[in-house]
Amino acid sequence: MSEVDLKTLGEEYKYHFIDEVKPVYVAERGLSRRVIEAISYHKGEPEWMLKFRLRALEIFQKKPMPTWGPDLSGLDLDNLVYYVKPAEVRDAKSWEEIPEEIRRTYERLGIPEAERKVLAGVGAQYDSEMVYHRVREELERQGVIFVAIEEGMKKYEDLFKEYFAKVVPPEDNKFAALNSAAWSGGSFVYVPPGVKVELPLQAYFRVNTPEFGQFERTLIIVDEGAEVHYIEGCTAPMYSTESLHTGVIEIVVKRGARSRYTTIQNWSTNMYNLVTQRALVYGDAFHEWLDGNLGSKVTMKYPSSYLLEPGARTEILSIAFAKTGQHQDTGAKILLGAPHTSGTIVSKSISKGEGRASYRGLVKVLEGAKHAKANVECDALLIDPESRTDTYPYIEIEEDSAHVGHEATVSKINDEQIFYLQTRGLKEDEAAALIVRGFIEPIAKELPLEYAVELNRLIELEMEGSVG
Amino acid sequence: MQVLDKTQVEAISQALGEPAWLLERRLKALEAFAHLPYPNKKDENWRYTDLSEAPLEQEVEAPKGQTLSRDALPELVKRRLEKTDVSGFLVFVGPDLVYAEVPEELKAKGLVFTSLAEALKTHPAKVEGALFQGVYTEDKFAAQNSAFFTHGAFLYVPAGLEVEKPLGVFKVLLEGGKASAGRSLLVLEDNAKAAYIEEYLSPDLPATLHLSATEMVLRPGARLRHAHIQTFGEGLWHFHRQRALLERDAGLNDLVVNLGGAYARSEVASELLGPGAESEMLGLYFGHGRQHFDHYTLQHHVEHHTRSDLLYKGAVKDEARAVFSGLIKLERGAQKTDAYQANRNLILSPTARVDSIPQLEIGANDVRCTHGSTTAPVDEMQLFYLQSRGLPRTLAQELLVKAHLADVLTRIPLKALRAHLEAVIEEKVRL
Repeated sequence: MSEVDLKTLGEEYKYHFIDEVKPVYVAERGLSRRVIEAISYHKGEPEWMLKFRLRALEIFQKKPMPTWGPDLSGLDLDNLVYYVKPAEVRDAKSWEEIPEEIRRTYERLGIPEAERKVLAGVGAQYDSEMVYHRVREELERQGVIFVAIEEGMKKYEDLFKEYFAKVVPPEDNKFAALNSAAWSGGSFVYVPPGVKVELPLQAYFRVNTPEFGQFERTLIIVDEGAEVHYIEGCTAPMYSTESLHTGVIEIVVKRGARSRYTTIQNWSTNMYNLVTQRALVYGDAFHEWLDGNLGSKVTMKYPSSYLLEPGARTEILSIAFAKTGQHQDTGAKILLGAPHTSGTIVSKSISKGEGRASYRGLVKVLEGAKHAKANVECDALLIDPESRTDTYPYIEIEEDSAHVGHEATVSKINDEQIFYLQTRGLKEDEAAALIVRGFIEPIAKELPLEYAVELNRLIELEMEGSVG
Repeated sequence: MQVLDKTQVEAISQALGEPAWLLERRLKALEAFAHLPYPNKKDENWRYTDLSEAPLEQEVEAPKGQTLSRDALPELVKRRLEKTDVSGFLVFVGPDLVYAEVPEELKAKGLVFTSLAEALKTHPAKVEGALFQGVYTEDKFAAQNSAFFTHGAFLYVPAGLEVEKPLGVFKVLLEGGKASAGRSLLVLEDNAKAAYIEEYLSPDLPATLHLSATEMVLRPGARLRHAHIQTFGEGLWHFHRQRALLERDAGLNDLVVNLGGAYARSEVASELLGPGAESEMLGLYFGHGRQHFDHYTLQHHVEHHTRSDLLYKGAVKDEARAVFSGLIKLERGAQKTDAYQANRNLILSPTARVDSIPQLEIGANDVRCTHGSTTAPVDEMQLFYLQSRGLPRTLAQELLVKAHLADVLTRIPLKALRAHLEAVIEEKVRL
C-alpha cells in the first residue's frame, strides 16, 4: 500500500453530524447521590432499584481506578453529564411517535429501512433513553419479549429481578459499579423455551450530547432450547471533549439454547468505551460473542463466557482497528467450570499510524472441569512503523485433563503477497486493501449477511475508502 | 530485631575488604530494599505466588574465610565433579570460596575467573565498570541481593579469546536457617567465547532463603553459553534474577533449570542492544510434591535486526505449581526483529496447576513475532500406542514425560550436563 494512501486510511468519520435536539431534562454535571436520585425519579422506579443504585454508587466510589491497561487520565468523571432525557416520548412502537429531529437521525443511519428488510426487532437509544422498541408481531405472539430495560423492570418484575445484576454484580469492577449506579436505557430480552428467533434483534445506540456518559444496560435471557441473535451498533458525533460509554451486558443462556451477541462499535474518537459483557452458559448451550471495535478513543472490553454446566460451549470472535490516537484494549475471557466444556477465541487486530491494539484475555480451567478444551488465536497486523500491538493472554489451569492452547502472530502486510497480486495486474494499494480484507475475512464472514453490509461499509471506510 | 540493616551491610563490606564505591552502592541498594514492600498477590508479577511461608527476613550468613582441599570437598560436589563438562571451577560452601581450580593456560591468556572479592583487589576497574549493570534494585529481592550479597564469581574473557571447555561454579548449602546471597558477573569482550555453568546444590534443609543474581555483559561479537542449574534439596526458597546485555552481533545461549527447592523463581532477561544480537533462551522445570516454580522471562529487542528464540518446557505432578510469564518487547524502531516464544506444559495430576502468560508488546511493524503456549495431560493416543507395544501404563507415562522434557535437553550440546539432568529427571519421574 502506498505511503500516502495509508496515511489517510480511515480518517473520515461518517457519523459526525450533530443533531438539533433539545432534551427535556439534563442532569447536573458529576455523579452524586442527588443525580442518582434524580435519574431514579425521572424513571419512576420501584424503591428497591433506587437502593440498588445507591449501593452501587458507594462501591464505585470505593473502588480504585484500574492500575493496568490503557491510559484513562483524559477521562474527567466529575465533569460528565450522567443523564439526558431526550424527549417525553419513551419507547415508541412506531417511528411516527418520535420527535422529528431524532427520527431524522435514525433515518440517516438507515435503521428504519433495515428494520423493514432484515430485522426481527429494533431498539433505539438516544442519549440516556430508549426512544423506540418494536418486535415483529409473530414473535410477540410466541412470547418473545424485546422492550426497553425500564419497561422490562416494571412489566416483568419477577423475571427481571431473578437475573438483573446476577451475571455482572456491581462489585465486579469499578465501571460495572458505575453503570449499576447510573444505568439508563438498554434492552430487556426474553426468549421462551424452544422459540427460535430467526432474524436478529438490533439495538442502536446514539450519543448526541457532548461530555456525556451513556450507561446502557442489557439483560438477555434465552430459555431452554431457544435461539436468538442480538446486534448492537453505536455512533456519536465528534466533539472536542471526551465522552464516556459504559455499558453492562448480562446474558443467560439456558440448557440447549443458542445465542449470539454482535457489537459493531464505531463511536467517535473522543469516546471512552468501557464495557462489561458476560454470558452464563448452561448445559449443552452455545454462546457466541462477535465483537468489533473500530471507533472510540479508548476501548476496554473483554466479553466473557462462563461455561457452568457440562457441554456448554462458546466462541468469541474479536476484531479491532486502532488508528492514531486510539487504543483498543480488547480481548476475551472464558471460564471453563464444568466437564466437557469448550471455547475458542479468535482475535484479529489492525494497527495503523500510531494506533495501538492490545489483546488481553483469560482462559481459566477450574479443577474438576474434566476434558475441558480451549484454544486462543491472536493475529495482529501492523501497517506503519509507529504502529503498536500487545498480547496479554492469561492461561490458568487447575485441571490435569484440560487441553489449552494459545497462539499469536504479529506481522506487517507481506511484501511477497503484494508482489504476487501486482503480477496479476492489481495496483499496489489495491493489493494491500485486498490483503487487509483477507486478514479479517475469517471474522467478517461470520457476520449475518444483513449485518455484514454495515460492517463492510465501516471497514471499507476505514481501509479501502481512501485507497487507490 | 531488625537484622537486615545498615550495620550488617557495613559489616559484610568490611569483612570482604571492599572499596568505598562498592559500600556506597550497597547502601543505595539498601535504601531501595528498605523502601520497597515485600511483593504480594496484588502485584502483577506475583499474582500466583504465595510467600506467606517464605523465610523472608532471615539474617544473611556471614563469610568465615574457610578453604578446603579438593579431597575435603562436600560429597555433593565431589559426585558432580566426577561427571562434569567443566574444565575450571569455583566451589562455594555457603558464602566461602572454599576451592578453585582454573587452568593456568587460560590465566596466561588474560582470562580472569575468581571470586568477586578477589577480583575487586586484582582487577578493580574491570569489576567496577560492569557490576550492577544488569541486576541492581529492580525489585525487593534484587535490592536485597545488591545490598547484602556475601560472595560471587567473576569471569572476564579478554577480546578474541575462545575458551573451548565450560567453566563453572558449584554453590553448596550445607546448613540451613540463614539467608545466602551471591552473584555472578560475566564479562566477555569483543569476539570472546565461553561457556559458564552455575549449579546450586544442597541436601534437604530447614526453610532457607537463597538469593542469586547473574549479570552478563557481552561486548560486540561475544558468544556465551550460560546455564543455571538449580537442584537444591527441600526447604530452599530460591530467588534468582539474571540479565544479559548483548551488544552488536553478540550471542547468548541460555538455559535455566529448576528441579529442586520448595520454591524457585527465575527472572530471566535478555537485552538485545545492538543489531545482529541473538539470544536463545531455554527453560526446563519439573515440579513434584508441593514445589512451586515461577519463571518470568523478557526478550527485549531494543535495536533492529535482532533475534530471540525462547522455549520453556515443564511438567508438574502431585500438588506442584508452575507459572510461566514471558514477554517479548519490541521498542519502536526494532525493525526486522525475529522473535519466538513457546511455553509447553504437562499436567500429571488433578491437583497440580499451571499458569501461563505469554505476552507481546510490539512497537515496530516489519517484524516476525510469534508465540504459543500449550498445557495438556500426557497424550492418551501415545499412551495407548506404547501400551499396545507391551509397556505398562506407568512406564509409558514416565517415558512420555521424559520425551516432553527431552526437547529442551537435546538443544544443549553439553553432554555431561545433559546426562546429569536426565538422571535427576529420571529420579523425579519415579517419585
